[in-house]
Amino acid sequence: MGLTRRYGAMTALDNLNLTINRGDLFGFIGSNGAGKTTTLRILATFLAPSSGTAKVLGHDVVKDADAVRHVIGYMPDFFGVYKDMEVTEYLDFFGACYKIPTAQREKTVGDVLELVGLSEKRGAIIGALSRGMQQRLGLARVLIHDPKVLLLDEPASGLDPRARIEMMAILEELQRLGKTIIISSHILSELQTLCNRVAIIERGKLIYSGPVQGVRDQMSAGLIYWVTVRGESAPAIELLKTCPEITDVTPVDGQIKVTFKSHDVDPTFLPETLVRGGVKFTGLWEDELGLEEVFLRVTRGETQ
Amino acid sequence: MRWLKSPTFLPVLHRELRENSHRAVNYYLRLVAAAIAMGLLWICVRQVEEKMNASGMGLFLFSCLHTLLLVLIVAIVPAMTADCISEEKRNGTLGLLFLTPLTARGIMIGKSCAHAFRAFALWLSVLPVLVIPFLLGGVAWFDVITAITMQFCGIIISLAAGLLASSLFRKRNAAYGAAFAFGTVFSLALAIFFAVALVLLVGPARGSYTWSRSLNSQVMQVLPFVITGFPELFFFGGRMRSPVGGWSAALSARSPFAHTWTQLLIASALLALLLLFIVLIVGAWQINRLWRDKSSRIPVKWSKRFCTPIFLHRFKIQMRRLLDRNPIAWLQQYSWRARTTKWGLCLVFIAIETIAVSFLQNSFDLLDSMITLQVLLLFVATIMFVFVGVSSFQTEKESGALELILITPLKVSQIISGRVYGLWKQFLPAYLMIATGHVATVTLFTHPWRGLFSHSREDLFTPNAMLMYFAIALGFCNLPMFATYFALRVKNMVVAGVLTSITVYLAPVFGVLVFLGPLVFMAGGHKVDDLSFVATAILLGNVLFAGLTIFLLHHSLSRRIYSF
Repeated sequence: MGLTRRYGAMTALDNLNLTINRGDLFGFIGSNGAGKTTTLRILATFLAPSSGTAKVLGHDVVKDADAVRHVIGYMPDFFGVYKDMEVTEYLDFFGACYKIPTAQREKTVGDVLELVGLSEKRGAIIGALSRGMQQRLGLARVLIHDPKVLLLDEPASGLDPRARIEMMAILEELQRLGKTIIISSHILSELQTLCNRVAIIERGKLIYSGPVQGVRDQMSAGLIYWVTVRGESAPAIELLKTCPEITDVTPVDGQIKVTFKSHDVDPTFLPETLVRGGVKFTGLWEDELGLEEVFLRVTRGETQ
Repeated sequence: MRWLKSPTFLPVLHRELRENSHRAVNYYLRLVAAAIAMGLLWICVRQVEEKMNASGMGLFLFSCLHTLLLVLIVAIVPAMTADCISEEKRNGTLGLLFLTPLTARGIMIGKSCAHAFRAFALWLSVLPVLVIPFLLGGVAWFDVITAITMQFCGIIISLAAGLLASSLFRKRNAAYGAAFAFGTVFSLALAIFFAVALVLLVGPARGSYTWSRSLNSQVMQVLPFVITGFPELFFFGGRMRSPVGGWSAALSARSPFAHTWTQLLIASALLALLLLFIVLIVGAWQINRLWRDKSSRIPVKWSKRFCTPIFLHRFKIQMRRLLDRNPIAWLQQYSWRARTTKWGLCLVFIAIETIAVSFLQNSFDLLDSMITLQVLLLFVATIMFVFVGVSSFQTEKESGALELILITPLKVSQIISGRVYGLWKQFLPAYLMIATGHVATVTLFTHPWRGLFSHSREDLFTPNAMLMYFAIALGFCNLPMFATYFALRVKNMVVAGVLTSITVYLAPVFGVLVFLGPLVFMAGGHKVDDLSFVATAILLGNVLFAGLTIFLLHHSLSRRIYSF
């Protein structure tokens, strides 16, 4: 609540108020320098806020940092690996840091490697792994102590399409296992399908927080549908303009863009109106406002 | 020689100079070097006998400052250049340079010019202090030219050492280690060449000193004079020409000496330049060959084959226990490189001492030579200790692993104790090896039936000597704390190393300066030279510095204040 972080004269995070529910797969969206990483680093107890409070599963990140560290897994936007270590040594080390008993650690290491698909590389030197594999190793490290909350900063950056899809599948699986996942990413198309809630942040200020559909509704001026007709579109346009529920009708590339006054309007009257008016109606579909478009509309691309 | 005419090195030189102009460390380094020179000047002035006249004092100060400058050059210049190419290899920017019309030789020349400018700027910062003894009088132009030529050779050789190491290695630690090793070898080789040539060309000086020994002994006798210009170490005609020092005073005795000396100076400068030229060619060939290869798989194979412990099961259990107890301490020992450094150092020390004893067994100053050697080994071990200490957190800061460690439930005190314990454990065998060697030397070679040596066992176990051992032991205990702190707070590894070394030596001095007076006063005016008071003062100084360092370290890690 009221989370603020200043670096000298610069305010990286400005009075951020945000609530994330348990079990959410929460997308954190913003331009470079918007304050996403700062937020995640505060939640990971690495940074202390200049003012305000942040709680993870009821534990204050400053006053109860130890408890927070036990329940979170933080994956930064860099690898943080020891390049001359073996994969299992690396995970064993972090397992020991999280005080996992020796007997249990061996099994846990095997399990997390299995989960991220690195079982065959368990004896490999980390420096010899590809970028994608090192990213997976980072995820395995995050999971080593079975945290309830995952803070993932750009987990799919630099991955090839296949690795990215696999990473997203792993995240979905983790959500199914009951983890709360906060993910910051620039690949908005993937967040759109993956996340149930998102937050958009710019210049350290929260612009939107809520369901993905909510941001679309909020950002679109009205409900937009596209209509196609056979033959001339001018009669259809004239007909549609007479409807009181419609605010705007525009022909675009042989199609007709219809904007309704509100989102509550039932568009099924459109075909009926057109057919009755003698127009050969061929199609009707809703204009889906993508998360990328929403992001571009909401933000002005300002960085700090 | 076509490539020398080609201006392909200019973009590299331009970039390097611009980049260096933004690095605050360059400016601080010059200030620190000048401050050290001023400090040494002050110490030397205090050491000078009251009877000494101004010219004698000038010559003495000049010799001391020249020696210091040479040491600074050999210590700093390789460190300045060691990472110049290896860093580009690690960051992948070397490959980008090769996508432009730049050539490997152009890159090498550009780098060498830029670092030569840095080195000469450093030299210029100390030069005003060197002028003070010259103005005092007693220093001839001959001394000045000799000193400047030697310093020039030192800079060129150190530059060559750093560039060669940087072109050969990719890892920073390996590049630094190799740069110092090459620098030491090159410097010694040139100094020995000079001394051998001097003895061979001019012949041994006659006089009260016995010159009937081997060429090896004569060279060893001439060598310190060649480097420092102190004629106390080099007798001409049975008497010293000057009570304090200076080449001109000693060499003016016989004109052929001065003539040969001048020729040798020119030859040394040319040899140093030739060495740099060869290094540029070798380095260019090396980076041309390797810039595409990110890493070779062969070392991994080798490491698995040759560096896996023989008693693997027992070793694994031992390491697992350490990992459970303190994962940070385990970090210091998990890699084969760390283990190789730990035991390799011991092996090298044993080998050096054994060889030295074999060579010097019939020498009547064996004990003195062995003790000098052990002091040198201690110096090497300490340098390595400082180097490994400051590189520990540096690597983790760079890779981001430190950030990941800090968000684990490990307590800050565990992180600090783990790091310090790990460093102690890594270097304790080497220090114990030197200590054992020292005790063995003193015990065996002063045995009554040998009866050949100037020192007795009692000489080496005097209260003063015991005080020295005590100070060294305290320094060993405190060094990892200082190194860890500076590794955390200082971005540049060389600066962190220099600050660590200064702090290690400052702690006992501070203790004596601050606590000795009050201690004597509290004890009711005992004699100040009572060594138990000095020991207590040294202990208090070390405890104070260690406590302060741990507090600052704890504070920095808790607040996550560290340099990137």
